[in-house]
Amino acid sequence: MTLWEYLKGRMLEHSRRVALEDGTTYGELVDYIEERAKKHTERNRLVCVSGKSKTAHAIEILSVLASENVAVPVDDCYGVERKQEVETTIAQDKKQYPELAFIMFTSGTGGKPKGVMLSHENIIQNLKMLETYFALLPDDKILIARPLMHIAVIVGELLYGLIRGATIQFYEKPFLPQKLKREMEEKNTTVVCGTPTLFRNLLRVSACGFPLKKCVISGERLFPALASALSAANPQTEFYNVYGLTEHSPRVSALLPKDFARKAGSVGKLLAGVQTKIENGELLVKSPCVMVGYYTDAARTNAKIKNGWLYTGDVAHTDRNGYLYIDGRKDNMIIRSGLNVYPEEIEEVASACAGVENCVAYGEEDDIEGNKIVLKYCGEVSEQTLRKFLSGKLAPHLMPRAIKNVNALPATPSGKKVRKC
Amino acid sequence: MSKAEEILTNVLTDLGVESANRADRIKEDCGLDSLSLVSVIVRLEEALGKEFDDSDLDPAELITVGDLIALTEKYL
Repeated sequence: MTLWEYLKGRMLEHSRRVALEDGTTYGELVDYIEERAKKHTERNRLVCVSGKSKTAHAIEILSVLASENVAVPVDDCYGVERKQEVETTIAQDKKQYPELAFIMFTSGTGGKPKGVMLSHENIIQNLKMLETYFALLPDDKILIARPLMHIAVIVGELLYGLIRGATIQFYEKPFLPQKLKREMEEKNTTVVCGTPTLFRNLLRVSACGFPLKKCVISGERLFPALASALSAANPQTEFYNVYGLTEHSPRVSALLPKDFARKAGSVGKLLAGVQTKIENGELLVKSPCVMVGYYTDAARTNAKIKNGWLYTGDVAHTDRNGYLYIDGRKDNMIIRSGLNVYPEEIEEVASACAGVENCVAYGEEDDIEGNKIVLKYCGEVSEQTLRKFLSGKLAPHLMPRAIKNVNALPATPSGKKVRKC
Repeated sequence: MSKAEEILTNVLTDLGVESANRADRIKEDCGLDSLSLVSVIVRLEEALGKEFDDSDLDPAELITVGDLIALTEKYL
């Protein structure tokens, strides 16, 4: 069964329910999407999908799926260059990929974004896993506030909302907490999903809480202090803290509302059908949701999946009741405001700046963005000049918050970079 | 330094932007992307005890540090 066949079947079960905020019903939405799908005359091809608004982007993604093609979401928000690079690469590929539903491009090292290939079955199985714990109801109104560039948003919010018969709302304004909160109130939103950074910002502008029934938190580490503050300000809201990765379509585990306070710090229990083991401290998972592989990168794929086990790159442990805790990263990846940043990507560009002899980028824990990116370097060039140089070449979310010129950079005895303050 | 400049300087320093001139562009010169700009706006609103009108927050009108100073001045 293709993903669209599955989605359509579920959506038609509640064809009279309201799907979108303008009153469009599920029956009407299915017809509309299939009508739009007709403009794609070929099958099983890779199709880059963009949209001027989240609403448009969502409709286009669904149309591509309905046309039996593979959706490759693109957007300017993470860099115009990256968007163009993806579009150029995809345009050159005329092959057919009948098993795929999506290719999601995310940050990678070595200057090349990784294309995570997800099959119809990957997504359908992850949606079924969500149904084992996330009671989204037809009466719920879910406000999608983040770009449709993340599989967590596409699967966890859009597609899940559609199969559950909820009303889907889109937040199209500038990303500002006061406005987001006001829109939630005006639209009687009941569900919002976001990163700890987003919820921290919301809490700053509404100490007395926000009017939501369910909140799903994901994308970066949720510190117990923030979890407590959120619960205290919103006693009527059910909070979930969940963990996943794009390579797993994405969801791996979930901490349920009943455990949100008493097991703060944990990302909950593994979802039904997900096997796990810890190897040298690293979390490995195995399930039908493990990606097909990285697009045109067999070497990286083979390093990531071995004998069906997905090497998450996260260091983790479980307690004796089976609750999972993520302790950190195995590699150097930094998570800033829920976005993946590889210090190597920044260092590579910085090293190319005339006058920079040596540099190191790292994350420093921060209560604004989870981690702030710091770049230290040795060389004759000024911090201002280096910043200007970087801003022309790095995608916006990779820009270091602090750039410091230092006399020397620490190194390990074998000469490796030391990535700490 | 005017009151508006002082408020903005404090906010930017908090966010690690150490020195900025009026002509500096928020993104390219100060290294603040849209995520960090959220933090700037939130902190400015806190310092002013007011909320900016939607119409004053058009991204196309907030390019330089000078634009942020003008915005702050407007709400003082």
